[in-house]
Amino acid sequence: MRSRRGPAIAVVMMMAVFGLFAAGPGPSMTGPWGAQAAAPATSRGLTALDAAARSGKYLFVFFWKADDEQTRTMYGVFQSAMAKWADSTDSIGILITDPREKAMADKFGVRRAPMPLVVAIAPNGAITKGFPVQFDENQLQTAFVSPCAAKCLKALQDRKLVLLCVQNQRTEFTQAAIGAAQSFKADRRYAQATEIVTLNPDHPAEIRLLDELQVNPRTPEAVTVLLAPPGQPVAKFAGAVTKDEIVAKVASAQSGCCPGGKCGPGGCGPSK
Amino acid sequence: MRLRTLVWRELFERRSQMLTCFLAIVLGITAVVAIKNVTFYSEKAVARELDSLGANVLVLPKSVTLQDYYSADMHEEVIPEEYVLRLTMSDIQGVDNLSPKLCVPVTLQGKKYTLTGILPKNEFQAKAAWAGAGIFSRPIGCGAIDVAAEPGPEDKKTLVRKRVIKTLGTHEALVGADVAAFLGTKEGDSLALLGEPFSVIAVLPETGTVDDSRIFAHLHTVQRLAGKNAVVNCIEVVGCCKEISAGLVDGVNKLLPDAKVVTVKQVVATQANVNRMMERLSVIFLAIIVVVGGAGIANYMYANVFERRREIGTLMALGADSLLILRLFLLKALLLGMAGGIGGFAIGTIVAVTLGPRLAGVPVLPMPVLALWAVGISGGITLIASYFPARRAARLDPCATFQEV
Repeated sequence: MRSRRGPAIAVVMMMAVFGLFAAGPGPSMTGPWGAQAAAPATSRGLTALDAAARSGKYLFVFFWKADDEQTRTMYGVFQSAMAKWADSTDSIGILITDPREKAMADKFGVRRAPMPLVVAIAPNGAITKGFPVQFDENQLQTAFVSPCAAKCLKALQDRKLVLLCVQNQRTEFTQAAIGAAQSFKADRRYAQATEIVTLNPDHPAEIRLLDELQVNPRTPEAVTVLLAPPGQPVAKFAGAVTKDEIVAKVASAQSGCCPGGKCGPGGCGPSK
Repeated sequence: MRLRTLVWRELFERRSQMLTCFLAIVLGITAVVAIKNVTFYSEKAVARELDSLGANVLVLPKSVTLQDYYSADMHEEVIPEEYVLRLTMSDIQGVDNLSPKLCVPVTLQGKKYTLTGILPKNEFQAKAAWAGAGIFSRPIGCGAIDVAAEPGPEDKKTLVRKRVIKTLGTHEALVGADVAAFLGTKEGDSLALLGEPFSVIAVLPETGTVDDSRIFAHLHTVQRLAGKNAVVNCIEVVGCCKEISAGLVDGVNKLLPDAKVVTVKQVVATQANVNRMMERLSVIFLAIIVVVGGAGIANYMYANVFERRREIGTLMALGADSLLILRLFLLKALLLGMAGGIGGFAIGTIVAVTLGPRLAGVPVLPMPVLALWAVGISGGITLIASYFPARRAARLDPCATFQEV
């Protein structure tokens, strides 16, 4: 005897299958809960990273671990900001416990980081800022940095020294300064661990960086700033500089413990 | 009969009373010498600690109270390890060097030690650069700059001094001096800890602190072996710039409201209070010696003079003048005082050297200068206490004493 309910069950099942496909991730579903809904077999994070770098955009990654109140609140802030900067930024939510995102979580070493965590990545791969636990839109905005700052950050994050040459046609001793920097980089002791970055002081985008480095944008002579990881200015040379002077500063900073700083009693660090 | 013989014989008259007085002096001096000795070395340790760790800050669980900086991580309470990255990524100045720690007990060859998990700097240092471009405006922090071009391999033994380590493998261990001495462990040996083998990469130099009884290994390995989550007992913020650390505490308090932030100054203040208490205690003991010892000696001498007035009268009748009698009794008192002072110094020093490290947690060495002090004090007290009885003896009238008899 055939069941009368057979066709009805078949229709319900077909509708359910259709509904499942129809509810798949759309273009807007890049948030944390969207990521959970349907993650591709490969890391979505790494793919987004490549895509952002290729299109010259910033990528904001929202790392999260638990679907709690704090995460939801901060994701709201994140989404609101991302919607405003959609033209210049890509964004993605990454659940760090998702096995498919292991490579992404390991790349950034965020498994033990406070969550939620937003990491802003410049097109050149430099992490321009990390925002753990609590942040607002204004704070997220500070993640956008000038091209020179991004270059410096990238080199510093690769544990390299940065010789930031602040100069243009207007400044004096330009050749001497860049020559010393190049000569320093040519030294086999520092070749692998040095990056030269040139900054035009007249470029309006670089005013903030110059201000932070306390370099006058109207400087009449070239200025060479030596930056050491994670981002501290170790020395500043105004005008002509020689390779030996730079080497001396680096050697002093490597052996000393408070290069240019004020130390506590007994020098730097415990003397016991 | 010579004065020396007279004094010597006089000393051993009424032995029980003499012994009681002698013991009172010895005990008093012992207490004062022991306290002064321990206090001196304790103060020295506090000063050294302040000098070397003055700018350091400890981040602890709220409920933890601590007495000693070096054992600040030896408790059951924990804070999340994520605090390390919160600090590293913050814009607070002076958090360049962090040292999170987690302690678990281990038993090796029947003896209990502390396995301390530490996180090498290379595992969180990169996050400091996540502070963004604002990092360029920070002042130069403490610690030599660290670039890919290293001047040479890191000396792991500096952990005890610098409190941070740059790199550490998941199964590498650094062994404290006491542990190494007891186990006979050398660099390059293998050590089984909580069921897994570790390679000993360094035997740490002796520090005189609890660090000597520790074995240091990678924090994440220790967490896994101890079945703990991503937690630590304490985070040490190693600073050397007092100017920076001054504003550090407020910054860390704001960033981590669920944690307790303690400066070395606060920790050593406890020790300084103990020292002050000990100092006061030594003054009280001194007062007790003066009052009890002095009164006892005076009483003993008065009784002695009263009982022996016939002998004194006889001596005087035989031609001994008042000065001789005075010298006789004062010399006796001086000898008693000096012997008490030397005895008290010797016993006090032994007590301080033996018990000092256990009570105050600092190594205590003998202080010869206290010998002079002890002899001076006890000699002075006995002389002063004996002066009036001796003067009374010297003023005795021989005729009157014979009449009494």
